[in-house]
Amino acid sequence: MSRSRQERQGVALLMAIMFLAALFSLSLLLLAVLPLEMRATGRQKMETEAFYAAEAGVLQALAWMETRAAKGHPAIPSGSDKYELTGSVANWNWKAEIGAVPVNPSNPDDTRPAYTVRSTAFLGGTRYRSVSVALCQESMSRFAWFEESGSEGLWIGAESFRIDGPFHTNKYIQVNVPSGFYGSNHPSTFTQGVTMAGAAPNSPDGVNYNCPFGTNNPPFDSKGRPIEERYRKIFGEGGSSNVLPRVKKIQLPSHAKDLAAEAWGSGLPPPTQIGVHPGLGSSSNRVEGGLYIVGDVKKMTLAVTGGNRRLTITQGSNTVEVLETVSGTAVAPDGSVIPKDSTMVRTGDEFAVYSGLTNGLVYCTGNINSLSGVNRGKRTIAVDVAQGKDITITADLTRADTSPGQAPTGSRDNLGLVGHNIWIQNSSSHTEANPLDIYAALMGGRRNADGTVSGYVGPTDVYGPLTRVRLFGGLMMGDKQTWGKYSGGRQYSGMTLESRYDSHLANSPPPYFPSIAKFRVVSYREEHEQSAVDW
Amino acid sequence: MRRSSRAGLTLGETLVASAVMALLGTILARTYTLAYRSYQMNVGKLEVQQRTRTALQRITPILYAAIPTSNSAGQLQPAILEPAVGPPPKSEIRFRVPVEPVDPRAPAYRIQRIWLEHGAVRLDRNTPSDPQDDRVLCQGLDALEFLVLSDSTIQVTARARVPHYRSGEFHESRLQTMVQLPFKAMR
Repeated sequence: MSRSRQERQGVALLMAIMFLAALFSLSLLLLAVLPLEMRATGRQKMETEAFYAAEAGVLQALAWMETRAAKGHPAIPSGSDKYELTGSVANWNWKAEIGAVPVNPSNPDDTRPAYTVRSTAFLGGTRYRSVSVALCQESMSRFAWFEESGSEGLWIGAESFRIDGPFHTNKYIQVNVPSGFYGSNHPSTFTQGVTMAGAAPNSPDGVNYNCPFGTNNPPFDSKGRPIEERYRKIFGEGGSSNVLPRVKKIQLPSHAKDLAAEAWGSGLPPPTQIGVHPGLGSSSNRVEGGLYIVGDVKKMTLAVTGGNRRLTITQGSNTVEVLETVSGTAVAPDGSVIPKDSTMVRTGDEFAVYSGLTNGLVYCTGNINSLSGVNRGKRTIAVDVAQGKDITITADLTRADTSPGQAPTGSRDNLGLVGHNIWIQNSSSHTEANPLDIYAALMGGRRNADGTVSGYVGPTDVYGPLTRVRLFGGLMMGDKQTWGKYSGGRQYSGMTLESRYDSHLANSPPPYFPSIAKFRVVSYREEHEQSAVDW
Repeated sequence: MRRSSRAGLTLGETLVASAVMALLGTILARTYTLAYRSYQMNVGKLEVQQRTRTALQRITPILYAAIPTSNSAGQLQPAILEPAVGPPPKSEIRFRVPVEPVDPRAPAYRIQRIWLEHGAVRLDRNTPSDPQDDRVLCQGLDALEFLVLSDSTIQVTARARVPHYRSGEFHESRLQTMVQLPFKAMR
């Protein structure tokens, strides 16, 4: 019996070994499968983390640039064309390289600040993922209407206003909706959205519909729910989504020093002698900047001669003519030929011809008391905003590429005016049938040291003859004052405005026209530096 | 007695032992078969999961490049051209991307297309130099759906199936992701 038991014990051992072998092979199979899954999950987790770390770098860089721009600084420190920011998210580090994009030589008129940001995510010194973004700083000229507006907000009559482009105010708007407006054939008051840095108290959309002398006729019901049909009537196709309260404030610039520097075209101190100085920069015979004018200008006239652009500037009894051969050759006063792409500056019988064209910037340290004419080529005319200098438009200000009264179809002759105030001369000859035509982005206003805002665009005399103005462009103002006086509900003096937005000014602004602290992302590219897990 | 002790097991013992051995053998064989089938199933599942995962991993960064622009009249052109916002989902998406290298002041844009064709996810790069420049992003998908939820949010669903190694059944994986176009966060 004892031997028999021994034999049986041997069978039990064999069975146990077989069981163990089966379990072992099962474990091996599972072990073969699990790491695959773990690696795949680990790889996905790391790549996701790396992407968010790289994106954090881009967002941080963008916020940093916007903060600088909001304070009136260039987005990256002056004098450098690159800047680097670093930071971390959890275990990850990121490095964002910001680079300024130089003006494209084939498109020298477009001077908007542009940048690239490339942010790379690191872990333990190894690069994993990168995000590249191209940015262009938005211009003030993108607005159909920009207004700081007074403490009570801007008052708008839904029936008497029509703003067919982007509208922004740093306060809020008050809209008077007359009874019967929602059922009328009147086109929508706004078309492309309203942004407001403020909001009227106790209003669901931040707009005050219960304004003084108005009817409380809001586009929402008693519970604050939007009635989209009504919203579309006031704010255009987007309905209630076209009104955005409590957005970021957009600051007016406090000075125009940057424009002065670009007009002079050099880091050297600008001239102080009264007169017209071509921006020669470091050169003696080549124009590298614009035109720098010292002193008040009595009269400035824009014109086109033989396809070339001409600017006539009168200061006191002195008249200077600046001819730029943008289109073809011209004949100098002595009969010689002025080559194409040259600039001639003539005072009386004396003249000088410089190679190259101006950068389109005309800067004046004083007031421009009379401005009119036909503009050719992109141009910005600016005065010393910090010193409270103004520009007065005294007659039609049109453009060579567009027939008066027609909407521009291109951006070749875009014009911008920058002053503390932009005045428009009253004239009884400008009626509904014969309005004063202005083709320009008009910016009148500045941010003062105490945080207040001053300056606006309006008639030279609110009590003067009622003047009809037809504007193709945009209007940017510090604090709108009244444009006229009323009697019996009818305006009898000052000016009335028919405003038509020119979107070309947004995508292709006048040279060096002031920017806002907002960057448009024009491209976004995500790049793999390497696989996060070595397979 | 001595002889009988050498005779080994009785018939009854042998039968019982054989029966036990057969039972244990059957259990072992069954366990092994189950383990093997489990392994095959896991491999199959991983295969389909990997296909859908690869598809979404390759599609997502390409969609990130989609960006809206504005036309000459200043009207905003959406980043996603097709499908329109809302159901039903489509197996093809067309979107706007910048032409490289990008001039930030005057960016040019082109239309890219991702679609499913005979199980392969294709990207029509539509480059200016070669309008027919296609690239296969991944293969082995049975379905691919793009549902545009807003102007900057796209729900992408990928589905793959592989037949079971013996039975007539299929392993199936359905993976879904939500792509939030980054331009929105940076506006």
